[in-house]
Amino acid sequence: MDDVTFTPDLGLAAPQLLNSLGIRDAAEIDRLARQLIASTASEDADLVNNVAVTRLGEWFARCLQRDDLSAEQAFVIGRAAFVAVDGAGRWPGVLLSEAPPADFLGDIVGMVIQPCPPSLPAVMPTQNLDNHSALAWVVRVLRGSPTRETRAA
Amino acid sequence: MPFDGDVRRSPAPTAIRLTLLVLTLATTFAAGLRFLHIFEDLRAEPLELALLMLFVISFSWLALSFWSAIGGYLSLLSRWRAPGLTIPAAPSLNGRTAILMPIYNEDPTRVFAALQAMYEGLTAAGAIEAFELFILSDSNEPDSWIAEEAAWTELCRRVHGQGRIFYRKRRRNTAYKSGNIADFCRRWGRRYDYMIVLDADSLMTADALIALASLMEANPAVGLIQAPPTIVNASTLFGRLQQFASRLYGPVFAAGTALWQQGDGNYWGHNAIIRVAAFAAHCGLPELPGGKPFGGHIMSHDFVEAALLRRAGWRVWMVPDLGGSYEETPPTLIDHAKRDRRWCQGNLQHMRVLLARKLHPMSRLHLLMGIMSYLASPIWLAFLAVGIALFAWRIGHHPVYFPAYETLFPQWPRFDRQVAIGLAIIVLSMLLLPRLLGCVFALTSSSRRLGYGGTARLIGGFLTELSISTLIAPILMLLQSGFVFSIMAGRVGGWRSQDRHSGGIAWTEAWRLLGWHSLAGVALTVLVAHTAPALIWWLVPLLAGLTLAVPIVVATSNPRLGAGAAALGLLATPEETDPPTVLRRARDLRLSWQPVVGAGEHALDRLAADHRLLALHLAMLTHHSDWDAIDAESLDHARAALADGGDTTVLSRDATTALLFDRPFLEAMAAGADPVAAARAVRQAEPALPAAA
Repeated sequence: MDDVTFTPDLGLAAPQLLNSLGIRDAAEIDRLARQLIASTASEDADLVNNVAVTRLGEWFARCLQRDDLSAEQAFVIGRAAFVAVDGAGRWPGVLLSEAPPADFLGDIVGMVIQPCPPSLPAVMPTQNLDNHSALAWVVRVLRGSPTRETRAA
Repeated sequence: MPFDGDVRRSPAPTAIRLTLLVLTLATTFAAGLRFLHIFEDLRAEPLELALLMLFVISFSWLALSFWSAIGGYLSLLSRWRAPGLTIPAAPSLNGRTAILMPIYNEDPTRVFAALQAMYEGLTAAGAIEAFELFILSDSNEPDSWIAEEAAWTELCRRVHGQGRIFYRKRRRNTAYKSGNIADFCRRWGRRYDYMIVLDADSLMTADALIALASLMEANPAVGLIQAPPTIVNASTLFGRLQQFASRLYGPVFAAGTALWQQGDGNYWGHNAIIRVAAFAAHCGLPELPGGKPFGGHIMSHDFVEAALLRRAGWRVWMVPDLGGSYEETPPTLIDHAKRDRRWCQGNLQHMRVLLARKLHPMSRLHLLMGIMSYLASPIWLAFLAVGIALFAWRIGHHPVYFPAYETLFPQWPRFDRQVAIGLAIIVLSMLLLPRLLGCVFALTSSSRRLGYGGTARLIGGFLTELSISTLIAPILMLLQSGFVFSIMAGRVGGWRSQDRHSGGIAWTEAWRLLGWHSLAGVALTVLVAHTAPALIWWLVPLLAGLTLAVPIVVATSNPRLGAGAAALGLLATPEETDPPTVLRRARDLRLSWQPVVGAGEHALDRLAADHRLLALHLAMLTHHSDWDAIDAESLDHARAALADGGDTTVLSRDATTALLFDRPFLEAMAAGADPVAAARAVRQAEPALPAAA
């Protein structure tokens, strides 16, 4: 089981979260940070942060057309693809946009990692490598393990 | 298809096996009888009987190998091919094949250069649709883990292999390589018809990969096909000697083995194709009862897996004439010995499996041959020791001309020197002749001669290899004997990665490891000179090899000597003279992979400096939902060590690994903090655990 769950509970402010996406322009960070937490009237940094992650995750999920991912997973996977295509540099202002350009969508979908294919498990029964019974009997006797006679006694 | 068309059907396997058995037994019987004639008086009966017994065991094994090689030579000359394996006229790729590259802290430049070259080859051949690649990582070094992730994404980018090239890292390398492959079968086994198992130093041409998959399709009763690999890319003198010997003599031995084993063959662990369903159903390895070194996980899994497939009725073939199958070799005798220690333990462990129920007799023979390949050294060593002791005993004891019972004639002590010399010559001939046949086979074709650099270089290489390997043989004999004794005494060998690209062995290191060989050589020379001086000339190769062990190891591991030999064309092989495209491509690509895998930076420093790699690593973690968690205490210790130590260099391997799993810590780094600041931030956010009571 995977107990190391995604917990963006470090009190990171939205600007720092945006920093992890490779966005360096202060004005852009300010604009996006406001957009991310606009409707969140809370002093709780963790809550604000979670809201920001969720919104970014939902946006990435839409871009990647992956409704099978949770918002947190979509954020982490989408972020990796976003920085891999240099989204911040090549498409400034695209983040959280309602209609991202097609070339951006094509590139980012192409950069989504797929470390492994969907699993299709096979059963692999453990084989028996015991020795022939006569030999096993000799080994038991030599080792002093109980024989049928001693067990009966 | 890479096979030559002009072949003849070989004799039936039963006839070949019977012939081999009769020849081996007859030669051994004759040699044993001759050996008895050396000591007719049998004064030192126990020693002489011991010597006879050791001689017969060693000789029988030598005879089996000798006649197998003779059969191989005849097979090569006659262009025999076993009738049981259908060779398709044209490639047929209806099934899906996974190419598996299991790695364990290996040099990623070599691994990924080879993978790229193979992938490009398959793409160029128009066959890539039938194949998918899996990099199955068991690496437990954090730096290797990060380097592999970086290299995997780069490989996908370079060849547009997203969705066809996969990377899977195991949290724990349970059951080593066999566990790694078994994990693949359990998770994705039903996605594929076949799997081609490689090693980290393997390389195969597209033709060979396609041919293997086509052969499996054409032979539905076959469970496994082994493509014997050719050694390539050796740089040191030792490596070149191994490379030359395997290339020149290998075809004779491989053809011989293929001739008698036919569909009851063996598996060498890599460069082989396996029917996944058969493997999954019949090759789940149990843990052997008892403690290590004989109990526990089966280390040399390949022989056992072949035996299990055969037990289940699947045929196991080796195709020596396939070609296009390559591997590398340890660069120095020390690295070779390290690998040998593991193989020795794995093969001796097979003693527990040898008598398992319902194994095919040929599978038992394969297991026995593996065991004997290591027991042969202490047996030869014991033979030498008893021989010298016997000589010394005879010199130190006056003969008894008139024994206690009444006799008219004195009993003259007898040592038949002529018979002894004759036997020694027979043994040497049986050792040398297969090699000579390998050389003759190469000399009899102009294209083969050219591959080795021409007649003069081929003969020069043959003589050089023969001379140096004669000196190395006693060193290996003593090393292997030591391995056998230490394993029998219950010592467990580790599983360390090999260095296949050595910068050489220093004198001090060679002395530390093999100084005792040199001292033993000197002591033995003095002993023999005093007690049995007549023997000394017979023992020159042994005594010289041992006495010169340290300089031999230093010289043969020196890359400059290797480069010098290469410049002269000495010990050249066809793959060196005219490298196949895949080899050249993989070699050319290595440089381009160096910046991708990094130059030994600490994993955390690397992630801190490369936000793309960090984002990738965090994304990769989301895919490993089957990993068990790092416990909170280990995480806390690791964070504290970094926060308090102020530098990543203070972290142990385990602490670094824990932090590479630590998502809050990694998220802090992704937000712009350096590793130390990130560790401090997460410690502030999450209070330290209370100290254990």
